[in-house]
Amino acid sequence: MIITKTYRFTDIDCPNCAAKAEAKIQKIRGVQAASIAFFAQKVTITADEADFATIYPEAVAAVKKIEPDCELVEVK
Amino acid sequence: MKLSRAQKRKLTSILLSGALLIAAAVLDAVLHPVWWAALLLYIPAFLLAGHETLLSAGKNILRGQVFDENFLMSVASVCALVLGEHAEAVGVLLFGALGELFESYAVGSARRSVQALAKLCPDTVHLLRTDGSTEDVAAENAKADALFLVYAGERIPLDGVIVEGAAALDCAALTGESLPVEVEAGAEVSAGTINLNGLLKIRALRPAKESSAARILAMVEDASAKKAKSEAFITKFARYYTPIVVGAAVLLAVVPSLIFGNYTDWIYRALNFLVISCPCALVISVPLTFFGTIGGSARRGILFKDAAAIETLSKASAAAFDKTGTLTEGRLSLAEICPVGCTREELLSYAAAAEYGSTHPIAKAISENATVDSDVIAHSVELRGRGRTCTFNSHEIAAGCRRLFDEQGIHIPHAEENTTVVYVAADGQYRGYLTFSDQIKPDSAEAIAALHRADVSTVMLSGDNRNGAERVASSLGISRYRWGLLPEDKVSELSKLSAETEGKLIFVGDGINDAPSLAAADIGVAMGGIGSDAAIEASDVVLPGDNPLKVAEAVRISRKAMRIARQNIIFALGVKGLFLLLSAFGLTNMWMSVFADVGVSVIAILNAMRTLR
Repeated sequence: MIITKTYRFTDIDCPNCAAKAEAKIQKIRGVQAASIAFFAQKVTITADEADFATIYPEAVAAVKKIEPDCELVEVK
Repeated sequence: MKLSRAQKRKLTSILLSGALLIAAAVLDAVLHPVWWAALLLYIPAFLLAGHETLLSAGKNILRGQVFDENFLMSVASVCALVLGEHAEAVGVLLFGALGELFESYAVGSARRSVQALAKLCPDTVHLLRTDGSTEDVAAENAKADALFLVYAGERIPLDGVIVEGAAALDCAALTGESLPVEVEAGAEVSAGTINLNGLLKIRALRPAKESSAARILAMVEDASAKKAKSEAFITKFARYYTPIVVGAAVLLAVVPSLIFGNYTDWIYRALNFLVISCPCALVISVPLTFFGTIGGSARRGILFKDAAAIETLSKASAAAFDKTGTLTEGRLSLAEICPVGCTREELLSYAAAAEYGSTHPIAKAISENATVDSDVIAHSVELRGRGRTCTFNSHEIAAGCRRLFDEQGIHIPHAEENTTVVYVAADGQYRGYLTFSDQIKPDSAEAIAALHRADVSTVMLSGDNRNGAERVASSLGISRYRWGLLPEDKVSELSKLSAETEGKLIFVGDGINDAPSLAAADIGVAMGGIGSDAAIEASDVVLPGDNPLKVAEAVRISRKAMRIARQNIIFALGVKGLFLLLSAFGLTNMWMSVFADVGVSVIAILNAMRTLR
């Protein structure tokens, strides 16, 4: 089933970095759509529910590459 | 001005570095032949201003992130230092850091202004126990149907219905309306409004996380997730801008040097390119404009569902309004009192007596205008579909429609056909009639006029009969109206209108009955619809209050936002383009380039922050 999950991120403090992180997350295999709302500090990822197990660690790695202190916490 | 600890640290090193830079420049001028003396001050100034930039550039290279802003700044300043342009090397880092500080301050204050909405609702509820005592519990632990108290001066913590008490409420935080609203037992109240003067006992309707205020906050937070076209454009542009400028810089440093020689001059020109290669001014100013607009207008009682809604609304050229509940109050009120052979007061009290105890909308409209002593009313009888009779102060009263009077053999000498009317008789004598109408909201005429001034034409779509629709449309100055429409007729009318309209078409409705129409229009504006999921789902703009003036205000706000976004794009692109050209011809120095970069950022951010006001 295709679902959308929302994560809150910390410590990305330049919108251009956020845009780069967004581009990286969009390229992760299985991600159908991804968007970073820089001001709301939220990442939304749309993908098949089963793929999130592999997508999440890759997304974390992608943001950490841009900002090492960045954390991704799911918003329920 | 609120600065975080990191921001304060940054500010301190900027100020210190600036002081060192001035001292170094003075020393340089005085002791010019001894060039290394000033360097003793330039180097600490350089490190103080640039340590963060240099460090993260180093770290990023180790992680394989080469072309980021930190790297470009570092290359530019280190090369300038090597070329002997000491003051400029410090300047690039110093003003770069200043720009970054300003940027993070602007982002922080924009975020805070939106998060201030979260403080709308108090954390604790004064729960009322069965023994009459109160207990303070956390708002998220209070359940629907719980009884609680709200003292004068406090914010209401949960949506609910007043069980006891009356008060004036300040709803400004939710609806942007500054006039207080009078409420009494039976009225529904929203979390986040302030009880100005009474003690209220309220029964909770829903838990805290589903309250109107919580929905507003969630809506505003989610609003920035869906990007406007101009926002997406600028992000995409930035992706290509930096690599292209850096590539051009490399070519500029290498190719002309091989042809003409004089390589330090060409390298210096290329360094100017690197300084203005950061796309930050662009990338921050456009989304900040939309975010600021979403946050700023939420405080005025206008909720945009996303940035794309702002963009579409700014192109609106026609607005279709639902009538009942949107342009009118949506309830009957007393229009005319026409007594025959008695006073107005007598007629009103006869009617009030007859309708006493009835729940019909007409009875409600009468009781708003007259109070009767229930002790002198007896034998109240409801005659279904015809009216009511009773005895009042030993008079036999009948009030109702023409059929009731025909049955009782009372002659009515005239005919009132076009409005809702109640005829009244006392002791078998016709005593006159009362008419009722759905009152037009006080601000509706101005709302329509304001849209016309903004070059948005108006149409009214009504389910009412021709007379009702015509009366409202003509008194509001709406020349086009359709009547007798079922909800599905409204949808097909909208698609016809949409085809005729050159720009975008707005539909304004109450959000409960009009969900299909809200979804069918280019921009659905749900009025007073924050309580309904269907309304939020179907609409693009939600007005938690019910003032139609907000429609024109929303159009105005959206146009201002688009104007600011466009100004920022043109200004930033223009200045950067100009400086790239000037540096290629060797007409700039690094001071000018760093001012072009940071100055554009600061001006674009200040421009974007106008939306927060």
